[in-house]
Amino acid sequence: MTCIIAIGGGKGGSGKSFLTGNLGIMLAANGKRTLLVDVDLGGANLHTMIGIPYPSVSLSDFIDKEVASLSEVVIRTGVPNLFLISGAKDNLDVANIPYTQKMRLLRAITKLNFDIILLDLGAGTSFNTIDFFMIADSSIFVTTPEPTSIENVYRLIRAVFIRKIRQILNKEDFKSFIDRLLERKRDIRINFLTNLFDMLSAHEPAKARMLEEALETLEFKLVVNQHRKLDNMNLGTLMSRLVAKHLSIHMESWGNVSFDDRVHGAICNKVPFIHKYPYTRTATDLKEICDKITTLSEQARESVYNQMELQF
Amino acid sequence: MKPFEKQTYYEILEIPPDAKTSDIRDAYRTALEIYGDDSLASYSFFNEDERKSILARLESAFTTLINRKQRLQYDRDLVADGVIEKALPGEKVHMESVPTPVSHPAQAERQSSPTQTRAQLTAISLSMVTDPLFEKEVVTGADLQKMRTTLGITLEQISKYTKIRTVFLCCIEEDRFEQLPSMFHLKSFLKAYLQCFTKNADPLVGKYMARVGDKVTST
Repeated sequence: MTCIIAIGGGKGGSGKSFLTGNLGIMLAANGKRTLLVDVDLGGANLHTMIGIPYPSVSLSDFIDKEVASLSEVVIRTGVPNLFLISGAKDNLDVANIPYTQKMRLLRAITKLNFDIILLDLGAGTSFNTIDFFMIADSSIFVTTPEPTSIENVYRLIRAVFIRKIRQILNKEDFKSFIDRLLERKRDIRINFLTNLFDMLSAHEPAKARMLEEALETLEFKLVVNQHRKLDNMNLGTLMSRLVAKHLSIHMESWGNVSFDDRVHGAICNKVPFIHKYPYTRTATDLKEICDKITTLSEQARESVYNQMELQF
Repeated sequence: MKPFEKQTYYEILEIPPDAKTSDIRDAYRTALEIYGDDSLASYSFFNEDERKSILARLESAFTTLINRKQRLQYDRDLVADGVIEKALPGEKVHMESVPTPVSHPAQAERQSSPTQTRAQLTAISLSMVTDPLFEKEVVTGADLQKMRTTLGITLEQISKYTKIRTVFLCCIEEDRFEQLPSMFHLKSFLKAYLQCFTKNADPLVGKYMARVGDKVTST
């Protein structure tokens, strides 16, 4: 059973593609049949991170219907067990993908057969980014220890969460009810969920319970990337606890990935960092995250009964 | 999860009702680090009004609890409202829910298992309940259930903490091995269950699995 993990973070340059590429290489080295998919439409960098400057086929071939099936744009990467769907060779308007094509893409991704699929998302909070979280089994949010990045990642977490609620309640035709609630509070920060549950419980307690159960299955993880010695070690933990305490969203802190000046050089040389510098602190940090993903994917296989039905 | 305004002073400072004065000071100091205007971790998390109201409430919590007389009165009010059980002299206070502290990073890394939390609060010592199992030659599901119920832990709490479905935990306690997907599942679920109760789960896993050896499971 395939474990799909979305890797996103509100801010560009926070390290999503860096993490996706290097984690993918490590998972493949551990024997996991891993697919990397670059869904940063209009900003695709994954191919560069793993050293494939000119992929022969790409996502655009699928989106433009040059090929019928998504599996036809999967390419080998030279690393055993590691495959890539690149976002390169894109049309200039790929970021404005039509709705039907986007749905076709989302459905096609869920039908691919690998041990692990890592989705490298774009920055920002547009639907074209957020919708990829909806098909993921787990979501990794990447931030750097700067207020700019932190603000963006909080925006993203809220946006994903609300979209998830819309998706869940859509099934029960409750969309208009929720939209009304959201319209009233434009600057939603804390206690959103409490207010939501209060409103729902008053009108439809069964639906409130259903929503609560569905939200319990959400797996959010936070990684603090580019962590320097002078940064607070516990930033990720504190952020996760804030989110848990005030938004009632279960988010787990997955630690820090150390900043390393050599990352710049590796990227410029289009060589995967983990290949060039496998014994750095950053590499060790990446390995810990790789292990956590491996455990997650093995647990996902066990809890096949908990799969939520997809509905778009 | 109660909204911040409805949480007790102990809950918002994330301290137990019997916390020492020094702990209260530490908790307040750490809370200020997290919720203060200059905090990085909570940057943009609250709007201005929300932050002001949280800091005001934290200050009330601190000034009340740090003053012996005021704290006593506050505790009496809580007991009267039924939020905490009355503490007899010498007995530890029992609270409905103890949130994991945001303020203590070392603890925050490891989420308290329901057993650790409950054992801290009640007079029952954890090892008092688990030691007898180590003495036994084999451990049955009924033994596990007895251990769990003696400590007043529900299957739902274990399920929530270990992320294993209640149905499977039930199968383990009722010795219905064949209803688990595989031997691998049985063993790993059992280990996770036992790790709620003891750091040294492996011997107990062995004692339970010794009985399973002959029975048929899918792999």
